[in-house]
Amino acid sequence: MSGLIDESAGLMDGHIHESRARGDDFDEGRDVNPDRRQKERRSRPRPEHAENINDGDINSGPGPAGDQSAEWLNDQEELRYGAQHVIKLFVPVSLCMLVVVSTISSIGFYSKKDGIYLVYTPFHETSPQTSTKVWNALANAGILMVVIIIMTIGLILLYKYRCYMVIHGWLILSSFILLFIFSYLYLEECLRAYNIALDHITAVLILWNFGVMGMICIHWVGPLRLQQAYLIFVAALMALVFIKYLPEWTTWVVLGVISIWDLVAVLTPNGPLRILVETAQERNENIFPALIYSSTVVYSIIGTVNNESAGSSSGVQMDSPGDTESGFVPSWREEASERESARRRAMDEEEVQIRPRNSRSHNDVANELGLGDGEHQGDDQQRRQPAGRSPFRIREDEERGVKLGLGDFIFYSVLVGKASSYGDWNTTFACFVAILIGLCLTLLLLAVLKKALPALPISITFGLIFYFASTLLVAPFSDSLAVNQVFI
Amino acid sequence: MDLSKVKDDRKLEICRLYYKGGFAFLPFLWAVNFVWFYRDAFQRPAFEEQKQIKRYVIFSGIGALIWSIALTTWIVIFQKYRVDWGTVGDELTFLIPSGSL
Amino acid sequence: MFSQHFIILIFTLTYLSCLSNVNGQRLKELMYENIDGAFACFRRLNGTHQFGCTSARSGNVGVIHIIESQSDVDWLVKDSLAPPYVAVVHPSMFTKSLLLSLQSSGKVNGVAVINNGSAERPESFSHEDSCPNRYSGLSLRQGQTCGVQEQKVWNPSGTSILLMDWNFPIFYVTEQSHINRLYDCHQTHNVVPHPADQLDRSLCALELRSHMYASVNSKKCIQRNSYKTLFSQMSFCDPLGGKNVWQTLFPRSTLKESSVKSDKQVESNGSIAVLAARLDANSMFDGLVPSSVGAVTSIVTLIATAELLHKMIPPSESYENNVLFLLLSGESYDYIGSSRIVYDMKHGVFPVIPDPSVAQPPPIGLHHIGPFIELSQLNKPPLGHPLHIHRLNASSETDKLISYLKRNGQYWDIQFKDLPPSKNLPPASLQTFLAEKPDIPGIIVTEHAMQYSNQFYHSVLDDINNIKFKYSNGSRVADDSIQLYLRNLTNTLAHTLYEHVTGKPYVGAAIADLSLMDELLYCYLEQSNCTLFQSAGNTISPAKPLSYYVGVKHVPGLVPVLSGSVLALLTGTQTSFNETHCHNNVSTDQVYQYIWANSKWNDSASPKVCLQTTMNFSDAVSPAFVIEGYNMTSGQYSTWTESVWPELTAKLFVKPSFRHELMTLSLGVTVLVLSFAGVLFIKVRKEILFSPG
Repeated sequence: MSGLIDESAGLMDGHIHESRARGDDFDEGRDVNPDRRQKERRSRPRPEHAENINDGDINSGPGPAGDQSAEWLNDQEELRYGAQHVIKLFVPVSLCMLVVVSTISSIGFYSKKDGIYLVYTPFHETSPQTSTKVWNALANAGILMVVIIIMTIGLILLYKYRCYMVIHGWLILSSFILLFIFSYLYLEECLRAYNIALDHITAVLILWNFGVMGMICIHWVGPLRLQQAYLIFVAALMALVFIKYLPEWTTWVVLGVISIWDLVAVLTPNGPLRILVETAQERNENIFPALIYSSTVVYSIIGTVNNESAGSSSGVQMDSPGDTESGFVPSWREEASERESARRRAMDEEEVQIRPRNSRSHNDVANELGLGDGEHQGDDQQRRQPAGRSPFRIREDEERGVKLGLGDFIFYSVLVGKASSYGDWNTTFACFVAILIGLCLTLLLLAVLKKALPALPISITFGLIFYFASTLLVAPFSDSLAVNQVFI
Repeated sequence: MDLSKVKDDRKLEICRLYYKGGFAFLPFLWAVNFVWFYRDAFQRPAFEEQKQIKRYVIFSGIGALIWSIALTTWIVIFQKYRVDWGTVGDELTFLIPSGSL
Repeated sequence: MFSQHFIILIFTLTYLSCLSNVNGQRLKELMYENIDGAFACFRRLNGTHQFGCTSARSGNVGVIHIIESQSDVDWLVKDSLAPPYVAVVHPSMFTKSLLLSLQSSGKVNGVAVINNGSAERPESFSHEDSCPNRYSGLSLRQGQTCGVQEQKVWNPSGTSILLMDWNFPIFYVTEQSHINRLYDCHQTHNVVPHPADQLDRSLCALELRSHMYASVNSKKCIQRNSYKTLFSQMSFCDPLGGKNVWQTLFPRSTLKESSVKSDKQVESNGSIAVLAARLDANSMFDGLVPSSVGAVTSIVTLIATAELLHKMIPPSESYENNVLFLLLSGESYDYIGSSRIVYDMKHGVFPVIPDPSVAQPPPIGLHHIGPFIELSQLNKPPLGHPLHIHRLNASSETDKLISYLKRNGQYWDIQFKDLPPSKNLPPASLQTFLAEKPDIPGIIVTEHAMQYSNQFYHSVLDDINNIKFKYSNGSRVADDSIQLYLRNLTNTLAHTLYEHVTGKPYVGAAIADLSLMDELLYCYLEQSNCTLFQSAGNTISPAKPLSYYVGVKHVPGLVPVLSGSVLALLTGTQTSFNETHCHNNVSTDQVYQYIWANSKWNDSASPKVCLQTTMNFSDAVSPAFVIEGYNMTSGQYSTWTESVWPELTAKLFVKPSFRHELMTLSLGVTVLVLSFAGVLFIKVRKEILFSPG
């Protein structure tokens, strides 16, 4: 998170802005403006010859004619990067949905309504009349929204007045509740669904280990993959809680309302999220390590800390725990109760951002390569070759990425999970695809508009349309086709 | 976090804390420690802190192994003899399966 | 790349799951045909064993095989090649030996009993023990009360199927349309010339789901009930139990009043005559427990007798003796109701725990009980045959009682035959009282002599057809009808009790109302939303025959509530209280209860009214669940519990053959492997395939 705010023009326009910078001042970038140090935006899997093309691009960069072509190439490259990021986001989003959907379809507990609902949804839609259900749902969603707005404003006030301790305490408490209590519930329901006799000793040991490891990974240091896994699981847990404890119609209304709120919070001049981000930028500091989930999945290059700390302010940040997490930041500030998650989500609107992290001297690179021996071997090889050709290539540090709030994960999963709870796989699949398409569109818009965008509206709108279209139109149609054996 | 960006002394510190933390009935921590620092301990050219890291990694690995063996044994025993143990078996059970003896 | 790979994986998985479940819910509903309204056998437990049936958690699936003759059984047990099967049998084939051979064959996953009601009734159909309540009642004190030789048992047609543990579910299907579907489906898919032919075909199958949570015995499952997790507590079984209904003829005086001279009763020893009947019965299947002979005849006779006695004795008169009407719940399960009342009486807490601070009648003890008449297994005997009177000991009181009965019976054409006093009393609540106090002058009035003449004791066939009842609905009742017979018995009983109370024969003209008897039988046997029950203030009872299963402690059955309110309606005195005041003030009035009735009996147009009554309910929960640390294996009290189950459903569908299933699975796996291979192929060549420009 830290990286994303202080470096560059900020979250909003980092993506394209950066790419332009790279062609022009790759040489002085590291000296003049450490923050804006140019970097290769190539992600690891790029093919070799693609790099060669970039080579040419860079070489021709200074020339007047080259300027134009460089720009064109930059744009093109940028789009490719965008695609890369989309793919990178697909995986965690899909995983999260997979966890939710498989849980919903195998553990009846989460789709069964047993009359217990969240405190914030006092109307339980018990009436058989549609009109009553509708106003119940609207009222519930309204209450939930008010809670979310109040919490958001509270958070911004806390942040504005630098009450970091409170915020961190809050985050830790939230993740504690999720990792221990909700996991406990999950474990219990799993055991119940599969009728497994587990002893207390093992159960306590499992929960203790799982929870503590999660706290360490999210709030301190831990292997990246593990941290990602925890974040995904935690988001899935929260989504399951929503599915279980929100009344039927309220869920759908909340999904709609939250998307609208998302739009408002991110795009209006005084939107809470905007204020938050701007404040953070002003201060040139981390917001909270546990707020935003970045798609920068892989650190492709070994950064030596020595160089970092010596060379740049961002290097200093590198050392800070916040930054260590910045690669894949849990935007996890989920409270046990849904309101918070919702609110958090509102704040963690998806932002696409490119973080020019480090440009290092050739020497640094050499060092890195030296160290790289034991590291990811495939990566190293890929890196090594370009390294030989040009020092520049080697600094393909891929730390910029698309950031997606965990809240978005949750609401995507709520939609897909809710759809799957009716037992229709076609609908589930339609919603899944719709959300991913929405995500793509959002990312495309991001590239075009170059500012922070809310991730929910497009995806959720698509999801809702697909859901209702497929349950109301497609499913009956295909059912009747199947019944009449049209396909045979 | 990404280990590749971390200074060696910091790595040692993390590794040591993980190792120590594992004593709080956290074999998972040890297992993670073992896997996470395996490369640093065994596959990198020697560096100043490597010896210590290696030691922590090995101990963590052994600890995790012992724990997993012990736990597996216990689970097997428990599953096998739960019914025979009667009330004790029931009391030890986290969630008694429906319809079971 | 990992991510690409992964997405393909997800797509494939999702696609596979789509394949397996093609069009979701609605199509699924078309694939399965729910056998709604099937009744399932469930699991019951006592202190030492488990009884009944259970299925696997996700239900038992089996290919339908209709059993109509012994050759079908042999085919199923010996020749069949496509197990598991579900045996579909008619009641006449539903025997213990059949079930045992099915269970031992290992090929049978469930049994469905089909009976559309119009088919011929089997000779006998009783799943109860041949010697009901064999280990309780008097047997606790006096050893076996049942005949030693099998010929001399009370219930010779009893097969004890109810008291065995079956490892497959048993369902009872009554709906004609479902039975037709079963036959059609079986005929279309399952009938093959040679057993091996079944292997290649899709076969018609039933899925029976009746998973039971409890197991082993009551002790274990009660103990397991107490285990909690952090947020939830799982329930495995519930003690059987319900409510006893009791009423005194005269209001009883409170302790404070007894010092002063009062018109209310102060009991002396042996002054309370008891007229008792059981409220419950039993059958194998949940929700289908009719009990014409088993319970209804006795209940309606008791209620009508109470009503008549109230008519015969004007409120102004007052006597030393009182009558206690007892309707006991849970008697089928080792005398739950009566053992609780005896337990309470012994400890001086019947009907309520004495509280010196409030004015309440003194507790009734066993020593207060005088003549005890229990009505059990009543029916209209064949012409010229008497009702039988059983008793434990000969005593002057019982002699007197019997002579009253015989004398009064003469007027009403009811003959009684008193059997010689015997230790072998038929199963009856009186046994519990006698076990505690053998000198209670008690008699049991039954239709049968030494063996039940009811061939359907405790079974689903002990229904309205078993007593040949025809509802007259206001028109003239036939002379040979059960109504008339029970009306006459009611008169006999009422006059006998009148003599006990007043010490002199009844000379008035009051007789039992025949139309009331007709209505009562109709309500209890046919339509539980009849006008009588509705007048009594129970408007929500379902329009189907009542089920006489005792129920569980926390959810008392409907029968006690209905019976109590009918008693109150028929015997209560009208008050001027409105609905909000229509209840007693526990601190000042523990003599009466107040019932808010919809209308008066025989006058459904009358306004709602608050009735003052001496009718009351008491817990019919076995002392075993009241006594702290009771030894569940001691056998002293009833320890019956009922397992908790999540659902009881039966579904009919066509099950693909094993080879077909195997092919589908391998096809799916192949597609999965191929897609992985494809992705891998593309990934390896991605530079060529996706070269930019």
